[in-house]
Amino acid sequence: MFYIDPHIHMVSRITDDYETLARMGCLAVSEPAFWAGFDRGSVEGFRDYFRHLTQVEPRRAAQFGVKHFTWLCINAKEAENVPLAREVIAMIPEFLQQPNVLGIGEIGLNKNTPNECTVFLEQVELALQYDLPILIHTPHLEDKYMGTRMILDMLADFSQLDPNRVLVDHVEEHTVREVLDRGYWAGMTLYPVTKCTPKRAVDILEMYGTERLLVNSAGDWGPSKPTAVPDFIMEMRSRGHSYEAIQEVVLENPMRFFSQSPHFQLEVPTQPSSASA
Amino acid sequence: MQLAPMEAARALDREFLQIRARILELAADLDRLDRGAGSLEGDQRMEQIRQALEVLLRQEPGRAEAVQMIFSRPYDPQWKTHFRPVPKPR
Repeated sequence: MFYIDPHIHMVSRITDDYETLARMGCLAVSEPAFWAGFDRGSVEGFRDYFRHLTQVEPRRAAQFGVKHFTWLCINAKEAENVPLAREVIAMIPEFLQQPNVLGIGEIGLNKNTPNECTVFLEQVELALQYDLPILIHTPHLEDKYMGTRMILDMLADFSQLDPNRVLVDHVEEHTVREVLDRGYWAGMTLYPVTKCTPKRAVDILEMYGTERLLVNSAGDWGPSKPTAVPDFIMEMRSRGHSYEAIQEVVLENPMRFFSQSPHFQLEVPTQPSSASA
Repeated sequence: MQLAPMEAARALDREFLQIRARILELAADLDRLDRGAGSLEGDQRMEQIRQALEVLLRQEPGRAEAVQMIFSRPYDPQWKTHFRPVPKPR
């Protein structure tokens, strides 16, 4: 079955992972800018990172017929350094015309601090200035509920912002309703321990329906599984959900959301992949 | 598109052994904490675990959401009154 992984950090993964994703039916990946596992020391570190995201990864993905898209920003963790964050924000427009850039992301909160809020707001302004969609990171574990609510409060202050052009990621049982009720897209991240499992993701879909819901692996350098979306597909199939319902979540919904970006183009083969069984 | 959940008896057939295994795992986790040297008295995390286990025994839907809330910091609807954006340099 063909699918898109709408949130995966391929800079942290080996080339073999691209091949595995392709074998599983992955047509495209979308890679938001994130924390590298350490705080970068200067704006030049970010410029090199954005070159990696816009030049190196698309080539690596193309070897296996996978399209690579990306989102640019300064992440919530490094946003704590406001002067550096502002330098990065000022530099981002240099890359916005690169053909694989979909929008601004993953911006958001980490520990729900005033500095993080300041940088979040300025990056929402950047997205509005360039008329781009936004991909949002919500905090982990005990900070998720408060942080998600704070993010939604801040977004509500932008009267010109179309909720349909915003994806709020890493939702779980206690945050998904509020995100969907306010008209945003919601992403469920399939992580082994700290976020959502494939089973719980399917539970959430059974409770809320498939509209404006996505699933992703958020595979990165930590404990994560780049093939988590195929695991989700298997869970959907084993519960007897239809091919159409699965396709809606793993392919059509990402395409609907991404199509709001001028750079998104993807040809979907007419025949299911051999991996679809 | 709305998705119909699996029929309950079929879901139980499918999940029973996994539920049993997870409950056993949890019981063994708690035994391990008991066997360890020292005391966990006063550790807030143990209170969260106790509350979460109580939620599992409720005969009502929304248990997963309720457990999430036990492990979450509460939302302060007045948070903006304490928040001041960092001023931009002139």
